[in-house]
Amino acid sequence: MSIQIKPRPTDFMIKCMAELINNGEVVYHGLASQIPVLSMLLAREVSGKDFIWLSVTEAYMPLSETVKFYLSSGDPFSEKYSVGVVPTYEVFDLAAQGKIDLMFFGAAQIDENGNTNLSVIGSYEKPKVRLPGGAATAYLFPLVKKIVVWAHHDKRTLVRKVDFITGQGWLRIKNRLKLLLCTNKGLIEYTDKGPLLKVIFENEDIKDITENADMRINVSDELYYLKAPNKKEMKVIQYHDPLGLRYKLGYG
Amino acid sequence: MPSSKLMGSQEAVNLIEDGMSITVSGITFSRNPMMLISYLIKSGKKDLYFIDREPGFALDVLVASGVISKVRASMATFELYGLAPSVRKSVEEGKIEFIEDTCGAFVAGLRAGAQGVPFMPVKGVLGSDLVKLHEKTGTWKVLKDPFSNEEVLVVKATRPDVAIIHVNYSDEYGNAVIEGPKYEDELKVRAAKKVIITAERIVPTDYIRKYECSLSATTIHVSAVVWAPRGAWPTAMYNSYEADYKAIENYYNEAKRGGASSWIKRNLLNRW
Repeated sequence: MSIQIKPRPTDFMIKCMAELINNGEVVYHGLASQIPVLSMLLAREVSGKDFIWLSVTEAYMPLSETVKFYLSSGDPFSEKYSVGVVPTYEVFDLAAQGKIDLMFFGAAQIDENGNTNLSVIGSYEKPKVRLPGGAATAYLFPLVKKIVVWAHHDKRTLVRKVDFITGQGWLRIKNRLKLLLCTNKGLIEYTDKGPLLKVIFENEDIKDITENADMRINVSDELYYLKAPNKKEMKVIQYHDPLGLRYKLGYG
Repeated sequence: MPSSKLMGSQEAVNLIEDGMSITVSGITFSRNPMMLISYLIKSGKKDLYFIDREPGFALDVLVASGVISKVRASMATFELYGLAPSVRKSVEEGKIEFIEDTCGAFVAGLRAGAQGVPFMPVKGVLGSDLVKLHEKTGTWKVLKDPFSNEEVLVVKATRPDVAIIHVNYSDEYGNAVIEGPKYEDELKVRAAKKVIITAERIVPTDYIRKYECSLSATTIHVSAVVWAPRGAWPTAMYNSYEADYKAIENYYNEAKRGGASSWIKRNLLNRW
């Protein structure tokens, strides 16, 4: 008998991001992206979404039932039985031609203009914290049709102005390219009037969401509550991450 | 075929001189050329400039060992464990310089290097604070596209002095094959001035001839070939062995407590 796992905020994030994947899209995930990988799996296995799977593992269209949660989302053994190898630099070329529809990015800070920071806290020359670096962020931010940033919902992360612009969210807003932010409390869409709360996770509170951010967040008139992942969804998430390593990421 | 390029690790490391720029194969915890890196640490080389797109384990042990004085990378991460511990510490203490790159521009620099042209235009990137940083270091420039008159970013050709590339198999001449993910390693082979191939298996040329597959490197590119069975440990080697995450985690925890050198001595320098 399998143990029933109660959905936690991390699982809400996985479900929320899975719902942003559409049929026919070309989707890419990068390094340190285990939550997006689980979202891609959920979209495929529960919703039956038919999309092109590309990733930093370079496995093109792996069989989803073979994909397992590894400590590296770039692990060459984590995505198996692919149709073949598509080198990451070819994905960058596809992006330059407007052929990548969706990509997920992490952020240590994200601000009111949608700019993300994965470079430094403090000054670049004398950083208080040297962050890992944005990887493809600065390259892909202006090029991918839809970008979903996932981040912690707290004042330290959701800031008014980032210390360093790694990802140029301001340019996406200017060019009217879709930019979404999924936190462990809800989903925010960037508009020319600022961040707009569109989805709130069941059991979360609007006041708590706006007060636990330094950035100013408006609330959409069409706000809706995202229900907890159901048994079937939890079963899929648990199958790919049986040890619950996803909870170690600190999203609850 | 020209003469054999097969040699020992020590002889291969002698191709690297103090102050040179180096690049290595793989990403974070996959196909890092760890055996040769162990010899590089033992050789006492210093002031190396490390260039790579998404390094992890190899970079961190080199930084912890005092071999590197400058890094250029798009991301240096230990993924789920956290930030690359020695890189973070050394940058924050001002011991090494870190020039953050971004993947598409990094690849453009290698492509220019491989094609023998001085620079390469690249899309995206403009509007990020990284542009100011690279304009200062002289690695990128913003120009006017001569055809459209719009702003375009150009990346100066990247030509590492030495690329150390771990492969699944090679013959003694350096005709080599990478199986599974290649990352931008084939571009590194073509852009670098010298290439050291470390191979899980050394095979007869006739073995390679049988498959007529696309070669990751040829003898034309390669200066040295070193036999390195399980030479990527503790990182993963596609088709051969998985990453040893327990070892990586132990290193990470010890490095965070200031014990990186001790771990490296016990686990890398004593192994090779």
